[in-house]
Amino acid sequence: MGSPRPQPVSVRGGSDGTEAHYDDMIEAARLFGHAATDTGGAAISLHAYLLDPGIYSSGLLDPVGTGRFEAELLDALDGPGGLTWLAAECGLLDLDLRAAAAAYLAADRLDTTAHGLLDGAVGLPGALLHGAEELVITGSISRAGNRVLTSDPALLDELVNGLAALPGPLAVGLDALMWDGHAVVREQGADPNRIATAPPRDLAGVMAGLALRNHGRHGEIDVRMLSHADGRRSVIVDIPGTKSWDPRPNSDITSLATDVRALAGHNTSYQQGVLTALERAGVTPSDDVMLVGHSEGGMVAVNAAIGSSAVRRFRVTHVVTAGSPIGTISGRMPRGVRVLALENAADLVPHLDGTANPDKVNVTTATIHRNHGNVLRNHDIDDSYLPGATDVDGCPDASVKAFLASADRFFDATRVRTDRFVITRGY
Amino acid sequence: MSFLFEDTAELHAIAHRIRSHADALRSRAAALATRAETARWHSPGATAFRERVRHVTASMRAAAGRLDNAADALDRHANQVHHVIEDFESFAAGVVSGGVGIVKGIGGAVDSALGAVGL
Repeated sequence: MGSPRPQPVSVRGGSDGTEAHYDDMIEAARLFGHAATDTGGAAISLHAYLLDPGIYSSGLLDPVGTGRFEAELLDALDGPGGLTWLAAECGLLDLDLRAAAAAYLAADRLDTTAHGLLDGAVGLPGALLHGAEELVITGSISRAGNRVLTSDPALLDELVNGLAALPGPLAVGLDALMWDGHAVVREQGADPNRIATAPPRDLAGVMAGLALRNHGRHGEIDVRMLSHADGRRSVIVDIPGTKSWDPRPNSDITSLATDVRALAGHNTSYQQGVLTALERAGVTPSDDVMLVGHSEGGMVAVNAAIGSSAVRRFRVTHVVTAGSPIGTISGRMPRGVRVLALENAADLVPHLDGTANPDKVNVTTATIHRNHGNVLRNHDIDDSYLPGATDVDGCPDASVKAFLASADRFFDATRVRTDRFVITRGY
Repeated sequence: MSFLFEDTAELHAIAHRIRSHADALRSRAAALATRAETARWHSPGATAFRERVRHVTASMRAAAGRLDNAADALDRHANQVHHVIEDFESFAAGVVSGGVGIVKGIGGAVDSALGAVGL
């Protein structure tokens, strides 16, 4: 499955997906209900004119004129598409909308509680079978466990949902223990690398930039300033993921404190460092910005987009994540920001929040299929997400196409300058 | 105003009320169309719903047009009734004034006749 050949991509959400805001639907239903009542009332009062004595008596003097008026009014009231039909149709739309909103609400509740359970359970027998097979062949328990997890990463959703049932104070305490300090940002100058100086032409080009930065130092990010033929500028920011799993307070901005806080949607020093780097690079609120992140970097990208949109500090229009658990946090993404989440079906990390990505118009989840039978390789940018981006570029799905079309301004630059920054944590 | 029909102004007032209903229907159609288009609901079901709303709001605008036609027909009828009443009244006035003339003529003739016979 690690073949460089194109692999299929399955897609959830986006412009071709399903999104339902119950409040909007109920509000619309209420309007249709009022329309039904008012139109029905108008139909009754207008029917009264057909029997009006004054109009009848005037008919003695102009019977043809009275007949024409009554025929016209009768047609407007009871003819096809008349007021009587309209009142009934508005009433039906009111009922249908309320029923649809109730159905979506029920389905969402079911989805939240059962999505991981169902997904995990469906693949469980096959995963266990693969694990047993590995155990018999190699005799290695760790390799067998690896095989089970990579065969059915959705099992992790169940585990995480189970942990979520732990008392709240424990989770709050864990978050409090993760001292995040503050961001210290150091400029590292322009990157002369061939990838860093070549304008991206597609999603694979974007992902290649992220892969390049991921090979850099701990906490190294970059800001790609794209210049266009018409004088416009746009910006791509590459945010790599975790390089250190040290839970103790330390200067590595990518270490565990950022993961724990970002997963919960809390502000992080990494996120603040990214925004500071944007300022230092000279990005203005008129530049379109795409934040691109791998793993933890994807969570930081989503939280930074939400945060900067709220205060209009930068114009983040697009976010691309690769192997990031953003199911919980991406639901708060403003409508003006489009998210494309790449998730390898065999990667465990996107399941760390125990929640599937929301089915929203501005959140498209493209699931790639790159199973190397190894937990780390399945999560790796070079092994999985770089070829996966090529798969997504060739994906005919309408939601994916709509996302890429909306991002075309990032793909037609004539020049690019990539400035590197290293973010560390200070106390 | 006429002794045969109470008031054609009342017919015009009814036509005006019918037009008000037509205007309200058009406003209602615009509000519903906007609400349906801006509601944050996107799915194949939402597309079908919006198509249905488009049909309903188009029917509302068409029904409003038909109410306007009915109001126009009533205005024309009121004008026609007004003309008929005017014609009748002028005819009646002519008849009355003609009758008065005849009576006057007869009176004059009688006076002349009486004068001729020395009365």
